[in-house]
Amino acid sequence: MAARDDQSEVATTYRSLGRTLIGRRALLRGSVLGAAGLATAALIGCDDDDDEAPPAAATPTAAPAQETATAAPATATAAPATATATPRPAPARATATVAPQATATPTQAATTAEDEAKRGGKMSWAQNTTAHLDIHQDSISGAQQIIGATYNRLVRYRGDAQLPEPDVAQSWEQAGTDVVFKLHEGVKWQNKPPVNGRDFKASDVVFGLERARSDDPSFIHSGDLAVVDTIEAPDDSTVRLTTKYPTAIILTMLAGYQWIPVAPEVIDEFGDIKSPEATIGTGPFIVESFAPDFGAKLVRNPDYWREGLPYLDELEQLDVEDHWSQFRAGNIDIVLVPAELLPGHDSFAGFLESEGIDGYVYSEVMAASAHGHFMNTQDPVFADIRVRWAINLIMDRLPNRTYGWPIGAKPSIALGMGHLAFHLPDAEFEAMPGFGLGRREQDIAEGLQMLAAAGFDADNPMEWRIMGWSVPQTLVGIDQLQIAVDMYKDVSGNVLQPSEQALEWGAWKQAEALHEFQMISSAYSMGVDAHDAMQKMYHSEGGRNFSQYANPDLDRMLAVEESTFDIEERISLMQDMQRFVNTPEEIANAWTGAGPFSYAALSGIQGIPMLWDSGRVDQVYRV
Amino acid sequence: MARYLLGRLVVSSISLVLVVVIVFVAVRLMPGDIVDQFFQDTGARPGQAEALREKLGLSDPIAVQFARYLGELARGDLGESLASGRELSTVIRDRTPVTFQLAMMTLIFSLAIGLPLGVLSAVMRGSALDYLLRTIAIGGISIPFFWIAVLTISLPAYYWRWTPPIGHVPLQEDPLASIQHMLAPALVGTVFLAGSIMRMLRATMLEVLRLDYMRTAAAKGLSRATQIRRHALRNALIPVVTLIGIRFIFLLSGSVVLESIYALPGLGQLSLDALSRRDYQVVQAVTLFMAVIIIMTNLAVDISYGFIDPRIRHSRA
Repeated sequence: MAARDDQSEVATTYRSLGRTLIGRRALLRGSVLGAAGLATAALIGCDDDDDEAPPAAATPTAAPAQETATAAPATATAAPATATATPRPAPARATATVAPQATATPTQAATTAEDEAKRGGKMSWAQNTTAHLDIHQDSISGAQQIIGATYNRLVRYRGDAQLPEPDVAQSWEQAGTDVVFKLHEGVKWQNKPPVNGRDFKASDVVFGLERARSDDPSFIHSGDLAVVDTIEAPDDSTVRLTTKYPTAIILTMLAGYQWIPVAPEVIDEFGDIKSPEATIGTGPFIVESFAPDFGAKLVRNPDYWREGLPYLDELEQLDVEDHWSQFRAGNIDIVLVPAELLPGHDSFAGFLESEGIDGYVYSEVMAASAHGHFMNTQDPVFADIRVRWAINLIMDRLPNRTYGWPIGAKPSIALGMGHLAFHLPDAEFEAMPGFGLGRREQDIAEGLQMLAAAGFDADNPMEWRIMGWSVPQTLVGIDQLQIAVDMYKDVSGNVLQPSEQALEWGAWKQAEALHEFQMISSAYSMGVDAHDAMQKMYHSEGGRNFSQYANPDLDRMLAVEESTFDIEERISLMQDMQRFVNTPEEIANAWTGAGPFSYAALSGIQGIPMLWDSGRVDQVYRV
Repeated sequence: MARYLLGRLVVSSISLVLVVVIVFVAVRLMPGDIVDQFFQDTGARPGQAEALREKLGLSDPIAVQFARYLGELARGDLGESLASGRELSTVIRDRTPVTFQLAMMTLIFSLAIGLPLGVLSAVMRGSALDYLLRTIAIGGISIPFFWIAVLTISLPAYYWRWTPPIGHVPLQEDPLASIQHMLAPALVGTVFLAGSIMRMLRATMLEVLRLDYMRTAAAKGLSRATQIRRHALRNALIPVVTLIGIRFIFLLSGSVVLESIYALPGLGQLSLDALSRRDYQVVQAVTLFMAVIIIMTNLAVDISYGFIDPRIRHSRA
């Protein structure tokens, strides 16, 4: 809630967070670590302790808070935190877990987590399945919940706090290009052949990461580990990783679902980890069955190394369509509330109540998605930077933004809500050409002048195609496309006359890859770290640099930012880059904004973000 | 008869070859390939996408790819899925029972409803019941069945917080649950197919009922039921059998819609996913498999004419 309310509050909270987090940990010492993490995040999100001292400057060596393997709210046993600094302070986070009938404040939610977490039960959700479960060889979407529940990684990402936290790595030290991880004791593989519950070793981490970055082109994520030079296991409980240059984002990156350890004997036995039999991790749930187009069933790992976890007995992923109807009928417990149902409602709570759904819990997942209109700088029309700047000035960002995120959306440049700490302040957006609602008339007039200078006016309107995507069972892509087309015509008095180019998904992906488009209207998931977002969209070799923007200055800025360990400085550099790419000299992408994804859950399920954006499903529970 | 069958087999073989060629070329004319989609969330290392295309055999000239494919087919090998690496013969074996169960249940329900109502409508021509049945039949044919399918899920979900059972339970695992899960899509298919059968049977029955031999049968003193069952229905069924054959093929090939809406992991769903992912191997294998089934169904329909009407059998012989 707070995250979308006040940018300045967010910034203040973020700045104070290094100390706040430690303070919270001290406060919570010996108490909730698991499920209450969400509530803690909510506390952080609502905190504006201006009187707290600024955080200690981050140093290249940063030891994380040591967290205990015992993390059961019910038993409330946790080792004392010994952190001297967080590896990366976290920004404010707005995870709202609110009971509709008895609205709970975040503080109350913390109490609820401790007192009311129940053990057992099943949780189901609907999601399209992937072709197989070998996440080293397939895209993450579709399998991430299964993988997150089955495997641990060195670190995992706390989406609610936007920082990596220990997983099988109990602690780490980073100095220059070296990162040394110390593994938890007592971690065991799941009791399935051929590993049969043997002890987990550092060499398993090395094997998994080396496999993931194999030269075999089938290992599609290997490019993301290009920064890694060597991975070694000096002993059974230590992993040493060296990077080719100092990088502040290595921990965040390693929190990705794809960087799972793998037991060598599993590959010896099965050849890969595609089948449910070969999907063997150290995680809280064991894959019992999986079939494409059918779904997956996971059961509690009785020997899970985190004592007392997980809370749930069973997870079920169903590959069904019309998720909303399935949710209404109680066939699934969690649903992403469809954006197309939300317009006209002021809040998720209002919407769900208008639907007559009682007993729900809703959560905002601060995903990394952002929406924009991406102009191909090599296209004859958009090669003229005056045209691109005119588009940026004239476009009305609200229709596309509020369609994608009807509630809680914000203006942003390249960054999603998951990168909130790196956003420009709201006040700055208000004064920024093209973004400020108070300067619409001025912007439109200047934009039309710019277009006239480029040779376009009412007698010679500018015509181009806006490319959007189309997939079965959802209208989001088409709707966003039509909204954009109508908006441009309306706002410009028909000086801008775009037409729709809706492509089937595969055709769209090829058009993107080959840059065969004039303008794209779409939202993209921008990556876990804010650096990913800027890197992929704006680096001259960025994987999602659809507009073909290229400026060595920005490439250098990205390199400097990536190598900057001081978080305040990183935020500043990131904000400078956002300003830089949104100037009349550099404009390539006209961003509309970002917003939270809204999930609703039934059956008193708490901790949706832990399932959805951070793979901490061991901490999801029912009340 | 044997010569006739042989001729049909030759024609069918030519059809199969054409199907193989057309599908092979057509899927590759679609923009984009599976490699584009592999790297949609990430970014390929320099040269990685091309290396993967090479590994998957997608960078070879299309003629080379086709020759390789024909070679595999000649060895009875349908190949492997580009996405999952699974043997396609295994994948198809797993998925086929779902599609066939849906088609068979739809067919059985349609026959059980369409045949008696068609006869009833013809026999009671011009009555209120006839008009009512015809109206229902036309409604069933006219309303798109995918729309009815969507409504069967969304309406009860909205008003009663209930949906028909979604997903699939294998028949051999739990027959009752399996039938329960398949009931809604089968009934939706039935709305369409039973209407077609009823209308066709009514029309042909009316034609037959006007023929001289029916008057003769009545003059012989046969009961009305015997006249209908032994003389009218049997002759009226020939065009209906043709229709059933065509519609059964439609049920198989059109299963993609019902399977998608009701989350049934059958061949239709498999094809849709494969098309979306540009998994050429899967599309080719499923299409070829369906083509074989369709050709065999047509052959079975042709042969069945001979059993229904001996004149056809004798003329072919």
